[in-house]
Amino acid sequence: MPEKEPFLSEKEPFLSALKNRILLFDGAMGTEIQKHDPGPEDFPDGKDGFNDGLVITHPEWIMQIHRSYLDAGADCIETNSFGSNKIKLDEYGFGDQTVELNKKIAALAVKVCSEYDHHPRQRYVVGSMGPSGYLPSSNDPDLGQKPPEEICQAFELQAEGLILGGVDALLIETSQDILEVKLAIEACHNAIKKTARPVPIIANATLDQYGKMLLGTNVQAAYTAVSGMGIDVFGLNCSTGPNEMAPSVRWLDEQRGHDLLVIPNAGMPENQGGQAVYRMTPEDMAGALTDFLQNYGRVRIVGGCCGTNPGHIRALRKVIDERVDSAKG
Amino acid sequence: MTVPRVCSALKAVDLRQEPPPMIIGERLNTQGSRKAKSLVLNDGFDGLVDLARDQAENGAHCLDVCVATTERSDEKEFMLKLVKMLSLEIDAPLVIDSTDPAVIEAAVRQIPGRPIINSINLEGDGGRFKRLAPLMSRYGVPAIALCIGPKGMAKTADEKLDTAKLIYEEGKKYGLAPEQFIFDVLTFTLATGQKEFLDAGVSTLEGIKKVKEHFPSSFTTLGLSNISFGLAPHARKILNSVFLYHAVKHGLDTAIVNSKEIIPYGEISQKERGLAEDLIFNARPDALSDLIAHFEKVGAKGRGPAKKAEVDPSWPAGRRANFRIINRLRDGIEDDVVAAIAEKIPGAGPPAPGGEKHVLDGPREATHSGAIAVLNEDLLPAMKEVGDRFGAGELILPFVLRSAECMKAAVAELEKYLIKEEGGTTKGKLVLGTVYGDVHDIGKNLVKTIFENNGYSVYDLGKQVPMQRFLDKIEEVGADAVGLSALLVSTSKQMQFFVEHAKKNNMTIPILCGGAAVNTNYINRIAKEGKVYEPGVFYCNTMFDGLKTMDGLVSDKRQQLLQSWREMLERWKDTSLPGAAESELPRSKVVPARQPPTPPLVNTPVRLGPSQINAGKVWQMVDKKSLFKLSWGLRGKAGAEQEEEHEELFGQWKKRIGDEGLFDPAAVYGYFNCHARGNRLVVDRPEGGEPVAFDFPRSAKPKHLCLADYFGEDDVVAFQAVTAGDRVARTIEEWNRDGRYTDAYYLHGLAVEFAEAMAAWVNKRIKDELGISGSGGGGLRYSWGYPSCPDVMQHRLVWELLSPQESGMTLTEAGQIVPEQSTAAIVVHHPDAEYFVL
Repeated sequence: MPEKEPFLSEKEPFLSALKNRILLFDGAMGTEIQKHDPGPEDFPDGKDGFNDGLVITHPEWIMQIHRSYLDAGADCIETNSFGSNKIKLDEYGFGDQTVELNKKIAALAVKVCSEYDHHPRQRYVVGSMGPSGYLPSSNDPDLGQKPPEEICQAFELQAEGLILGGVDALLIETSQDILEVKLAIEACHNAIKKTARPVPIIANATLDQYGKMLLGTNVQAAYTAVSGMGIDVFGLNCSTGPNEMAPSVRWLDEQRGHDLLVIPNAGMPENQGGQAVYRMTPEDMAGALTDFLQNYGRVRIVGGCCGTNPGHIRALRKVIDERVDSAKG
Repeated sequence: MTVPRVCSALKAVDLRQEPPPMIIGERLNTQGSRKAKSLVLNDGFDGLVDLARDQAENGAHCLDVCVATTERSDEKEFMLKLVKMLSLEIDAPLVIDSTDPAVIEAAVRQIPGRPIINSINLEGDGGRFKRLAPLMSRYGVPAIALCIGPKGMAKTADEKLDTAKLIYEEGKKYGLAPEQFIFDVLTFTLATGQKEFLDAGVSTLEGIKKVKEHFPSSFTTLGLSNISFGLAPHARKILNSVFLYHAVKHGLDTAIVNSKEIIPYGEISQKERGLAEDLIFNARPDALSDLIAHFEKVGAKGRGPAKKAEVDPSWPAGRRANFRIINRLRDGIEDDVVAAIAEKIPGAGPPAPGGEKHVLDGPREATHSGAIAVLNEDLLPAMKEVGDRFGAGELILPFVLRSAECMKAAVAELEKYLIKEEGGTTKGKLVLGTVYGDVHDIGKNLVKTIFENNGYSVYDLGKQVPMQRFLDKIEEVGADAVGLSALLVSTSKQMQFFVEHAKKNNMTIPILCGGAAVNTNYINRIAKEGKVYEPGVFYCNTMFDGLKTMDGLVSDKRQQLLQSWREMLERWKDTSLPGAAESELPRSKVVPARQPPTPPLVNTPVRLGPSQINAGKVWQMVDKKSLFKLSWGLRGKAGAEQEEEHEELFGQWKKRIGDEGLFDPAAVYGYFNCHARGNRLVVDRPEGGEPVAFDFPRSAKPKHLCLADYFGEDDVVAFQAVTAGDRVARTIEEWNRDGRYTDAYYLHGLAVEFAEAMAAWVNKRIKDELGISGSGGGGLRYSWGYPSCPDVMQHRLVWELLSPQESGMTLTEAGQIVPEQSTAAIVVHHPDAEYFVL
């Protein structure tokens, strides 16, 4: 490792950092929150399970989790806003504060990141945008009836808040329906236009172990549907471990199109007495992702989804640094 | 650059289909189909989905959707509801067709995929374009761009190109990429006889060619049926089909058609083809009246297709079944199969009509071997023929699928006569499937049939099987072997991935591979690469090879089988790539040029059409010695005596070829940056991305030459491809059919030599441009198939760089150039370059 690189007075933009080095994202948020053993009284208005609302009641928990990942060596942390699109916030009665809440969540992460300004490696805040819970392309009597305009609007307000809060990039993640991804990308562009702050857009699809999204969309179709929509990075996250993702990552790499993000779970979840258990150790995970980095040059972002913790991120930091060292040596 | 594609929620489709065209089904359109219109008027959503499914199953790659009617005012709502239903059920991407931009916008937004917009143009004040171009930009979707400008519809070829340029330039303002334009150069009916439209067919064909030459990254399409508007239904079919054939030859990428209304070019009678072609090419003033008169006569008689292929009942049954598959005549194939089996059984009489269908009674062993014979001698050769004709561009995909249906029906019947091994125990378990990305399952189904009939349990995972599903199933059932099938070269790579995965994870299952796209070399290479996959990777040319291998694997001879397989692999040398032994040969002493010559332009293929090729010069360069001796077979004493005669003949032919326009030569060449890496020459793609790698073999002779040696770390290489054209190939074929063998023979020889001469002419041009045409040497051209670079499959790499298909040259699966009177070469500028043998 170099002793200390020259201090950058100007922050290197996210996309140029991505070209210059592999960016390491953080690991799971939800399981880390569970470690604080929250009760209903810990959430705003006693709304049990309203994780994103902890920014109001327990910002110190969230800050601590962000720090734990930054300390483990993550280059990027995701904001605790996975369920903060307007549709989801409506479920907790916070829908009318979508912009404000997202802004606050983002600002909190930005604040934690700034504590690391003296470190040689620049850190980034990525605005997390999880699904609306609806499946707009399905004909399901409940999930398939939300008008596209409403879903787009729900994400637009979220993206606006995240941008105003200072995120370095927007991340549409854990998407089950490729139509929702399309709508969320549109929403991001609208919010960028509105705030006049160009922010990179990362669009993810979530594939099952056979390489398909919930409604049968394969990786080829998923990528084709959104690759022309002005996104900066395309990625895969959640649902499976890295091994199951390999054929899809390989195909995406072969397209020579976008830079890629790969954020798998710590293996396929195994059901143990109703609990999802993830079996991959930090070392397993680091090994699998090293393979990706070695074989697929387009993979520029890695990190961990469900079942990962700071231990996994530490192991990933180690292998990424070793790669850099061996490249230099 | 990513391959241009569109997609539904389920599947992505390449806009560039190989072979072309990509087919857009036209029937889901209220403007063109009475059925579609009545369904829309009656809220017949299910019927519309069925109409979509029917087209997709019959080979349409994408589906046009137009639901506008004057009767209904809810086009937008109807469209949204319909595309939502279609997106969930039909895997073909959609083409949204409406005059109302608001309908298009709403549909594009709601479709969980990347559809095509139909259509944009620059009519009037360009308002429609201004409305839709931002939509194309926002969603990255392509649009069919009609060549209609402010002055109206483009009629001549030049107007068509100019309008396309105008549209493209306007599109640039919105950041649109060339891949987003599917130019419809417009086609007008030839049925009016109006003077203004006499050349409409030629203009359309020329227009396609010009647009493709100018915008090689863009696409072209046609609303095919416009060409015959106003003619009787049957005449329309023929004219449409013949026109489609020529349009594709001129570079058409996609066509909006009802594939059921298309007849393969090769199946249209000579006479009707001629009538249609005379009209299309405006060859004679009375072409239209002749065509109408002919079809009035025929139409009165038949009403059916012009030349409906008919089975001759006097043929042997095996030939009938074979003919039915090739000609897609599904009805009655079962009876022919049964009768064919009977014919193969010595002493058996004809099958008895049993109720409605024929049945065959006989000893099981006899019917079994009879059925196997029918399969091998009649049915499989038929499918091979279909595959070959598809590869040659004579059949469009829907026909292949219909032949496949006939084959399926035949095999289903055949199975009844195979001996099914009874008993509770199984001889072994095979997990079987067509690999991911591949939708062809005929071969795989045959394997299943044969294996099951020989006492194995087959776990058939179907087609398009992701690797993980194979792995899961293998573990679940404890399989004894896994069978992977692939028809396409592109998907055969999945086999390599599977073997790599198996090696990495120390799997123990033997892998059987088969399918049209793979061969022994390929399978051996993937088995051996890196390290040998010890449990075995077997190439199975037929299902019987597979069966034999499986029998060995589950018997006590397993170790023996594996031992001999490993020994075979040890001895095997890759004949298509430089093998291990070659790479051990020392490099030659050739020193690359210190200062490579500078080409006038790199990365841009230069295309020459007939008007840019100096035929006079080329004729001068024809090697008459080679023509007379090799091509015309003038040898020995008789040859010497007749030489004068042949000179005369040569002169006559030259004139005749010129007068009748028998050659339509085309050429393409280009310069590329390249880098030598051992035996490999790495050539940069113009558009960036993974470079193209040529692995050249090294000579075992003392000099140890290898083509890559002539190039340095940063160097430049030229490639060229030339053809005497497609017309000559067709003429030769025609003459042979008409019994004019001698003429055909002479013409063939001339065309071959002319192509060689063109290659020399283009080669000279390259040398001139590089400034190496002096006495110093250099600029030698090497064609594939010759000793120094034997692997004709490398044509595929050249095609990736030069796209000679845009100049009318395509490749067969095996890498041969079509038309035959064509040749391609790599041009080596190094002054010391020489021809060598390996």
